[in-house]
Amino acid sequence: MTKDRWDELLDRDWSDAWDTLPEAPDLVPRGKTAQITLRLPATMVARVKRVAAARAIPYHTLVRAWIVEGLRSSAVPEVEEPDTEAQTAQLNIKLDQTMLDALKARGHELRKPYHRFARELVEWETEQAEAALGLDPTASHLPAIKELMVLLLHATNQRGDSAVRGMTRLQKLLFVLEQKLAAQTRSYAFNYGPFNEDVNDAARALEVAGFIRSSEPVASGPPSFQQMIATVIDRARSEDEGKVVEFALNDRGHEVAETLRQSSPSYDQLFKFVESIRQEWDTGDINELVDRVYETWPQYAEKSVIRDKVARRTERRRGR
Amino acid sequence: MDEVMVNANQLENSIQATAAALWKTTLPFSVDPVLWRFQVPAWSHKGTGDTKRNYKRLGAAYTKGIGMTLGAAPLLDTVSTDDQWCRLAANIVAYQRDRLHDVPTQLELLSSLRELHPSRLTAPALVAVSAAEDRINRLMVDAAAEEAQTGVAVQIILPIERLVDHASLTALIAATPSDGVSSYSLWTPQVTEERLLSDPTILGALLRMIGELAGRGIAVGHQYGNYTIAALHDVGLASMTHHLGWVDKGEPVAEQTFALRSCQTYVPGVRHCVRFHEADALGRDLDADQYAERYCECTFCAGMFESGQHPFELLLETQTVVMKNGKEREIPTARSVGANTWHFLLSRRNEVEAFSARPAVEVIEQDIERASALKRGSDAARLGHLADELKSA
Repeated sequence: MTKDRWDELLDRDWSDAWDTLPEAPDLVPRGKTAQITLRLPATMVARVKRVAAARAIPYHTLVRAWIVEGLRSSAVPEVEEPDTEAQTAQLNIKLDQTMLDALKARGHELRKPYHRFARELVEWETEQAEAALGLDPTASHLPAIKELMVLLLHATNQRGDSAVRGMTRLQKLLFVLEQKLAAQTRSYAFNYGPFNEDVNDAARALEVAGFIRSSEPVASGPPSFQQMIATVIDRARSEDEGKVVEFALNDRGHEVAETLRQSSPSYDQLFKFVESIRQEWDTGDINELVDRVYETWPQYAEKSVIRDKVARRTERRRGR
Repeated sequence: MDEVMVNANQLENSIQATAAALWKTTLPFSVDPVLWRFQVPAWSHKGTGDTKRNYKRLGAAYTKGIGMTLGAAPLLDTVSTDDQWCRLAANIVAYQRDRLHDVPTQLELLSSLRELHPSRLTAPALVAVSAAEDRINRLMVDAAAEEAQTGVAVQIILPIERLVDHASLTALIAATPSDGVSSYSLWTPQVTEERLLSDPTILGALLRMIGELAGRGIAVGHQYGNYTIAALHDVGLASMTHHLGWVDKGEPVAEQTFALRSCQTYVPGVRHCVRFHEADALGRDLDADQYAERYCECTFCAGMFESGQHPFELLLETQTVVMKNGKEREIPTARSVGANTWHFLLSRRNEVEAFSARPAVEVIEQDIERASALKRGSDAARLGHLADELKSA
């Protein structure tokens, strides 16, 4: 730069230009002290999660990034007619206060509530991302095992019983459900037919969350003697040989299941389907259930150590 | 207890149940990435020679986009370039940050549960067998800090051979980075409490290591700590993580192969675990007050007395099992294991609180009196040795 140019720049009055400059980013990131709660259809949340998984980033981070980008861009999201599906799921996105203020200002500018603007941003960005990643927005996906399990334990069998006796029965009923729901399953052929270790994990998760009948709520502080002794006895019971564990929701569990069912028409429909499967397949004898599963999906019985025994039993039943 | 450390193996084994437990507690948590499990194939293998299911998943997550498989061969042979080590470290930091984000289902979304973010990110580490591992560990710390965009916790896994070699330990301390480091976490596999107390070289080396690292102004913690480790609070140890199991095996790197638990229980009165028959001789005849004063003052044992039973009815309960070779073996019942877990955790909590609140030597001197009251002269001498070492340190 020449000395004249240097002097000219120093002498110039920059006050007008100063006001038009964009705000510089913070040197130290600000804490996310504010939050926006977005109500969205459950399927939309599932789509957002799928995009986030495909990009290997947390979905909360992805949505936050979309909102930030949307505020930086002058483009307005082009959204189609409002979705008829109820906005039953919610996303809590942490933002810093400045960002939330900017979102409100932008909403005001566009003459629409800022929640709606943010929701439209998310819907629009999801569509764009799905197109870029080649994801089919209508592709069927199996509900989470934990959700299926809660609905299964909320439904009743032919005898009007909602409890499921034994892990084998729980495994097999969830396997049947998945097969009937989407002709696919997360189970694989193992020593005793179709098996999915996530079922055990989900059952334990429901117990820890305090939704299962025998489970004691886990306290965040030091437990009382009564709580400790209950876990000791419970541990002994679960390790007791030959004892069949019963899986049953407690009142809170049924309440949560009912909230899930009512959260969207699709979950209500799913619950009805789960109940119909339970009525048809959970008919009483565990052997009968195992035999039917082996007969209907023989490829999942290939590695079974009791395959021959089950086959003989099925033969006898047919002969009767 | 003020924080939970979750092993990555545990996350892969039962992520839903682990997340449910983390949601239930208000405590912060962090994830131990256990990369060292892949260092030697046997450390992540089943008896059949296949990589264990959880480690297969973990290996796949750690090597995403790098194009390699962990577990089949020694890690040093699998990862061949510095760039690959850096990408591995970055993936492992991303794993700790993001793994629990996929867990929430509609059930959790309806309950507005907190997002599960680890309180700190840990740089992956190899067992520091030689200078070669030191160099890689340093590379991974830098890469992890860059990915985390903040200081990372650094694990130092120190084999006993190196701990007792003065020159080698000096080299390791010099090679341990401090830039981008928020804390150090030491682990000395195979150093049981007994060994730590009986070998002045080992205890001296550990004291030196803690002193030099703490002298950098960075917090030093110990993974798999015990009573003696808790006593090192006074020489600069800021925190301690400990296992849920009470039988001290020095937490070796290699997997334990014994499936059956041995009949041992933690005796707070002597600050280590002993066999059931020895514990029985020490505490069976004590009434509630004597028991609390000399043997154990935990709330579980106190609750047992209040409910009209001696704590040993549960703590020392056994059953006989017949082994495959036809021999009989006495093992603790499931109730005993459950009771011992509470008794041990509550006792450890009391110990950590005591060392946090008072000078270590004062706490130990009180414990020497208690061991003497139980007529355990050898334990009193053992604790006296620890007090002497701490005084001279």
